[in-house]
Amino acid sequence: MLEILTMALQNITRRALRNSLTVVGLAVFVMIFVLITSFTFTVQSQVSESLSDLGGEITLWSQGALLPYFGEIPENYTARIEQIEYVENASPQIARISSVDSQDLRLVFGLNPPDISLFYTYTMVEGAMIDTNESKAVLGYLFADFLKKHNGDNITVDGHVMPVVGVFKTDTWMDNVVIIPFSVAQDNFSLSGRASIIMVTVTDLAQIDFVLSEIRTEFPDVSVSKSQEAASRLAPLMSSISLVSYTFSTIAGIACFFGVTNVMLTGIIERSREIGILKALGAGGGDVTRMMLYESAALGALGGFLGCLVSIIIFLQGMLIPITSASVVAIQIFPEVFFYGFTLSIVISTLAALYPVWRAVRVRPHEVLKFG
Amino acid sequence: MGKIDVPALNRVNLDVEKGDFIVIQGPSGSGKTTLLNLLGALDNPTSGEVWIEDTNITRRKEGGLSQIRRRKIGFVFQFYNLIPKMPAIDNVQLPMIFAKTPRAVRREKAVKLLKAVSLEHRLQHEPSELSAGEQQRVAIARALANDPIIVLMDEPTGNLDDENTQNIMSLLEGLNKETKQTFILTTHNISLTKYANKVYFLHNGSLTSGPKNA
Repeated sequence: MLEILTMALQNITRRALRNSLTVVGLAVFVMIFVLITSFTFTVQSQVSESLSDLGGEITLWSQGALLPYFGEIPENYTARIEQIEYVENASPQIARISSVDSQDLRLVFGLNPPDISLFYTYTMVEGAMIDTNESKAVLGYLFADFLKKHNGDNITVDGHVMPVVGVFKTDTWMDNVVIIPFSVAQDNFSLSGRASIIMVTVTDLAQIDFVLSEIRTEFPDVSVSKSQEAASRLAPLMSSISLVSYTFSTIAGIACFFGVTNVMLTGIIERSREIGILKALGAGGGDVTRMMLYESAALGALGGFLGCLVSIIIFLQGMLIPITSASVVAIQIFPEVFFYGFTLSIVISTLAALYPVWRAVRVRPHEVLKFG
Repeated sequence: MGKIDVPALNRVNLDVEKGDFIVIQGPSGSGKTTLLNLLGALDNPTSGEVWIEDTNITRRKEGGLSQIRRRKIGFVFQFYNLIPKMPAIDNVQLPMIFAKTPRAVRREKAVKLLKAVSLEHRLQHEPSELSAGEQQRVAIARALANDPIIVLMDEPTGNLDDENTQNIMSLLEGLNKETKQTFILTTHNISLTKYANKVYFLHNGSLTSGPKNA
């Protein structure tokens, strides 16, 4: 078996140009698969993560809004919610897309200073969290790094200049946002008496369904759900994104399959004399089959490796995708995606060789060698 | 050929004894290659039988025929049919790979065979780096790799000049005497019959025995 494998690898090097082009084709497929699948996984991960990091056990937002943050509900619902039995805290919050310094389309959060530590887990990298309703801002550390801003610097949010009083870290997507006091956000974004969402915590988790039911009864004009379920509401959207991305990958894979089949069939025709010689020298159908399948699998492995390598290089350059309208994240590297891509390349290449191999095994030596 | 049946051989009876050096002479189109294809288990006759030692190889499937080729038969072709871009020593080892000969044994034997055909200094040369005569010597060494009982040669000197033809035939004559393997050679060149111990003539598919050319 080792000898046949060695022959197969030698055959690949003997037709370097043609096989290089086949390898490139397979690599392109792997890149498409890895990039599209990594994009899909990143979106799913980030959206799920962002929704599950909302804090609080219950979330209210505008009915019909695609994502919870981008609608408006009356701020005064907060006081009424706090009257419901088993409700511990209710906090209105604002999320808006705005320009921050020279950066357009960045996410700005308006939070009530006393409620921040109740709903979010963070550490301060510099300075302190906002604790009054004065016009000031704190930055997520990733965004601060990007803007090269520190505690004491000024920042311009939607045309309003305010001092940076701290830099925080949450190890979530919020490390890319700006936080300003809720009332300042209402003024800046002309949302007087409005909020994007209201977050609710309960005193007894066993009563969460009761609280949900009460809120839904009292506020039929808003969407209400447990915070952990928020991500599942986007399941149809995520499924659609997955379906589209896998469709693209499948189309690329089918194109690659037929391309490899075509190349190998052409190769069989050109090599029919060589195959006839091998058979005249005693090679059996099994020997020819093994040799050609090893060749195709090796091409698949080379293409898979090259595709994964180029994909990693692209990712390391920091390929950014918008997750919400105003925040971007880098496509994450999922090792299993690279494994799938590499394996698919070998599978496609090997399957594509089956028909050409069938043709090769049927080469009759005396027919291809008859003219000398 | 195509949709028309063309009889290539007609009532051919040929008995070959161990160690024979047989030359079958005939013009182009006489059926020489067809006869070798049948003797070499490359094809099946439409009627009649082919026996190698006590084995009837007629109408076997391709798998069985390849096994017989691997164990009992060596081929030398007019146009050498070496694998391009494969060094001479690797070309010679090919039949032994299919016979699953261990690597160390294979290599040693390939070197010995190439030495026997005076090519010990050309082991790593590819066919494109060898002369016509040298390529044919490599082909002969390859044909002997699995110690076949029969070596079939289809116009082995058809593509060589007179000097190389003489050299190759002398080599074959010597090998035949040394190894006692049976050599069957087809040619259109009547002068080659002097090397044989048995001579046959093939004309329009019919085989007749004849005298050696003095």
